[in-house]
Amino acid sequence: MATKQAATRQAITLKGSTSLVTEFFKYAANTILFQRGVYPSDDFHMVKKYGQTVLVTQDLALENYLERILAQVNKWLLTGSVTQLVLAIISKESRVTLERWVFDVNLVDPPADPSQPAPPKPEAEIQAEIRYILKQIVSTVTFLPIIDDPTVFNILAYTHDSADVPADEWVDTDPLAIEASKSQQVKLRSFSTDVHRIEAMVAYRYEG
Amino acid sequence: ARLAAATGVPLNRRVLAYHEPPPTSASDSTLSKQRELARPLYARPGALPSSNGTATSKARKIPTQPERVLDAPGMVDDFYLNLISWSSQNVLAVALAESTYVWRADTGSVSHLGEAPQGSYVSSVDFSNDGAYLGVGLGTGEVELWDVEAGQKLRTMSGHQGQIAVLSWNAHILSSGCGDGSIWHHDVRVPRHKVMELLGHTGEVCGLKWRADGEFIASGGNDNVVNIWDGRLGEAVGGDGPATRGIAKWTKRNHTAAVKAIAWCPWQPSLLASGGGTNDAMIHIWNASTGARLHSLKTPSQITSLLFCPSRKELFSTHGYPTNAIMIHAYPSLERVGEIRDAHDGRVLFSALGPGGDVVCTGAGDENLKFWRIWEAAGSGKKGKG
Amino acid sequence: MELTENIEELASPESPPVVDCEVLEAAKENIQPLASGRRVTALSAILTTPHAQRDAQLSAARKRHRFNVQIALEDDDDDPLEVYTRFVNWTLDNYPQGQSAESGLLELLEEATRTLKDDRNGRWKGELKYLKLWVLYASFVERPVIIYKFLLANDIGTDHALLYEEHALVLERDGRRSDADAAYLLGIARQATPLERLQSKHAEFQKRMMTAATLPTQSTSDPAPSSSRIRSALATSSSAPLPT
Repeated sequence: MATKQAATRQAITLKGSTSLVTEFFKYAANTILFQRGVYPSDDFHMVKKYGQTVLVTQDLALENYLERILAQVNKWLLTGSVTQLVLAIISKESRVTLERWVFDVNLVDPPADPSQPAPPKPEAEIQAEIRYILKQIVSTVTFLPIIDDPTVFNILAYTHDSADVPADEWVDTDPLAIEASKSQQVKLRSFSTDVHRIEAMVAYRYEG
Repeated sequence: ARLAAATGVPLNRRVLAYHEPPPTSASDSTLSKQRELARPLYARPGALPSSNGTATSKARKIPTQPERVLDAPGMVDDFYLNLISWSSQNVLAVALAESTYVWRADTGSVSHLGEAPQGSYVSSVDFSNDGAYLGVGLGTGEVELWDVEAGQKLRTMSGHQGQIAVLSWNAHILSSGCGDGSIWHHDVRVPRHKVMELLGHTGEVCGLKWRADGEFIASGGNDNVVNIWDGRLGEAVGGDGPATRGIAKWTKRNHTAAVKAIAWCPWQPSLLASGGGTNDAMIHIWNASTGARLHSLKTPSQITSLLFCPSRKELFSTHGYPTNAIMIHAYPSLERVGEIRDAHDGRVLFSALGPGGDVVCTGAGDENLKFWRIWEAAGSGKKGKG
Repeated sequence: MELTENIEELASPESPPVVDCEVLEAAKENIQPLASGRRVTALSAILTTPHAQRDAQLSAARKRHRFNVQIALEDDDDDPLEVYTRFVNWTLDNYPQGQSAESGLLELLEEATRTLKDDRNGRWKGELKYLKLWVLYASFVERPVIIYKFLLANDIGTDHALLYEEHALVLERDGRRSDADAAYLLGIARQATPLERLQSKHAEFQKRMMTAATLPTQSTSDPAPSSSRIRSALATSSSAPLPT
C-alpha cells in the first residue's frame, strides 16, 4: 500500500514538475527572443509572472508555434527522454549560428527510501531560482555582441535514441554548433524542482 | 553536456528540430527599423549626438559649466561605490582609493582624514545628520566611525563579510549595505553595535537611504530589487540576544538592472525615487506608504544617483555611459528641464547636494569633482515655475 | 557519464573555458556594453583578480604593451598597427568600465591613430584595422563628424564601407539627413567594400528617412581641456573652466 501511494505521489510530482519546467521554457524562450531582438519589441507585451514582469510575444503565429513545440517537449519530459533543449539564433542571410542558449535537463536523484520522500520544495523557492535565471538572461546584454542583422531562431531538442518521435513533426537535424575556436561560453544559474534540475548556459560567436 | 553545448556533438542522442521554421514577425518592418535606431547608443561606436541644453518646453537655462572643479586623483571608477558625502556643516568628504579627505566648502581647506588599513580601500562614506561624524565603509567589510572635527577614528565595527558599498545615517544608527546582500543597523553608541539585520537582497546592496524622519529606509541592489523597510528597530535592541531581523514592507522588481540611485522626497515624504543601471535606465517614483508606482521615466543611460531639489518640484539625476550626463526633471510630469551631456569625461558616478540646497557636487571616473549651481538657494525669493 | 567527462577534457584546449555568469553579474554595472560583444574569458579573468593585485598586474602588462609598441615602431619589419591594435584590445578587455582616467583608452587611441598616420610613409592608411582604431576613437570624442571629415580628407580607410557607414550614422544622429545620404552615396560611388553591405545599409537608411523619426538636433559645445600635471587631492583644477 505504502509503495503504491508513494508511486502515485511520484506521478503527481512528475506531472507538476514537468509543467513547471515546460512553463519555464516558454518564458525563457520569450525572454531570449525579446532581449536578443529576434522579433521586434512591438510584438511583445508585459505579463506578471514569477512575481515580476516578463515580456511575452503577442504575435499569435509565434505563440502557437512555441505552444506546439512545448507540447511535445512536455511529453518528452514526462517520459524522461529529452536531455537538452537549445534555442539557436541564426543569421538570416548567412545562416551562421550566432548564439546557442542551452538548457540541460537532468533528473534529480530520487530519495533513497521511496516511502519516505523528502518534503516537497516550496514553490516560492523554485520561483526565486527561475527569476534569477531570467534576470541573468537579461544581464547577458552586458557582454553579448549587438546583433545588427536580421536573425531567425530554431529550437532543437536533444533526445535519447529510444525517444518517441512524431515522425512528420520532428526531424533529425544539424546541431547548429558554433566552432569551438570562435565560441565564448557562459554558464547561467540552474533551478530545480523535486524531479528536474535545469542548467542553463549560453554560447556565442565572438570574433573580437 | 558541456561538450555538447560547445560543439553540438551528441552522444547516443538524437538532435531534433520541429519541421516548420518559426513564423516571421507580422509587424511593420520599418517600425522595427526605427526601434533599431532608437536603441541605446553604446551599441554603435561613433554615433552619439552631443547636446548640451534641452529640447522641451519646460527647459530653463541651467549653467552648462561647473562653477568649480576639484581634482580627485585615484577616485575609483566603480558604479557600486558611494564615495562622496556633503554634510550639513558644509564639509565634503571624498574617498580616493584608501584615503579619505575632507574639504571645507566655506574656506576651501583640505585635510586628509584617514587611511583604510593595508590591503583595503574605502568603498563608501556618509556624514551623520548633524555633520559631526563620518561613517566610512571598507572593501573588507568594516564600518568605521570618525569624528570629523577632531580628525580621529572613534571605532571600527566589524562583522560584515563583504564590501560596504553604501552607508546611511539616522540619528545614532548607521546602516550599512554589504556585498553579500545584507543590510545592518549599527548603533554607534553601544559596544554590541549590530542591532538589526535586513535580509532582502540576493545581490550587493549599493543604494541605501533613510527617510529624514526615520520611519522608512529604502535599499537598492545589484539584484535589480528595490526594498522599502520599516525603520523601527526590533524588540531586541540593546539586549544580549541576537540582532533582530527586519522584513521588507515592499519589494519592487520593476527595474531590470542594478539599483543604486535612491532618493526620498523632502517636500512630499511618501515619495521615493529609484533609478536603474545600464540595462534599465528607468526612474520610478513610488509611494512608500501604499507601495504604488506613481510615475516612470526612461532615461538615455545608466542612472548612478538621484536627488530631489528641496525648494522646487524637481529631480536631479546623474548618468553613466553612454551620455555621462546630469539631468533635471520636473515633478510630477518628469519632463526634462535640463540636461548636460558629457558633464564629465567619464561616467558621472556620485552626487551630493550641498546644505544650501542649490549646489550639487558630482564625482566621476575622470577623477574630477565638479560643482554645479543647479538651483537658486532656498528662500532666495525668485520663484520658478513647476 | 565518464566518457563525456573525458572527451570534455580532450576538447578543452580548443574551446575556451566556460565562464560563470555570477562573476559577470556581480560587476554588470561596471561593464560597458560593446557593439562587438566582449571576450568573457578575459572579462572574468580581470573581474576575479582581487582588487589589491589588479593594479600591479595591469601596470605590468601595460608596460609590456608599451615596450612592444616601442620595438615595433623602431623595427622596419615589424607591424606597429598590429601591436597598437593588441594594446587597444587589451585595454578594452581589462578596463571594462570603458574610458576613465585609469584606463587611458582615449589617450592611447589618440596616440595610435596619430602615430600611425605617417608611419612607413602612410602605409597603414588603407588598412581596415587602422580605420577601426579611428572609428573607436571617434566614439569617444564630442564631435565625431570632424574625425570622419579628417579621414576622408586624408584618404584614410576610404576603400572600406565601414568609413561611410559610420560617418553617415553620425550625421544621421545629428539630424543631418542629406549629408548622411551623401556619405552613403560617396562610398557607393567609390565602390567601397563590402559594397553590398553598404548598399543595404543605405537602403535601410532611406526607409528610415521615409518614416521620418524625429531625431535629436545638433548643438555646439566644447569639451574642457584635459591637463596633465601633478595633482594633489582636491586641488582646484579650475574655478571657471574656459572653453577651448
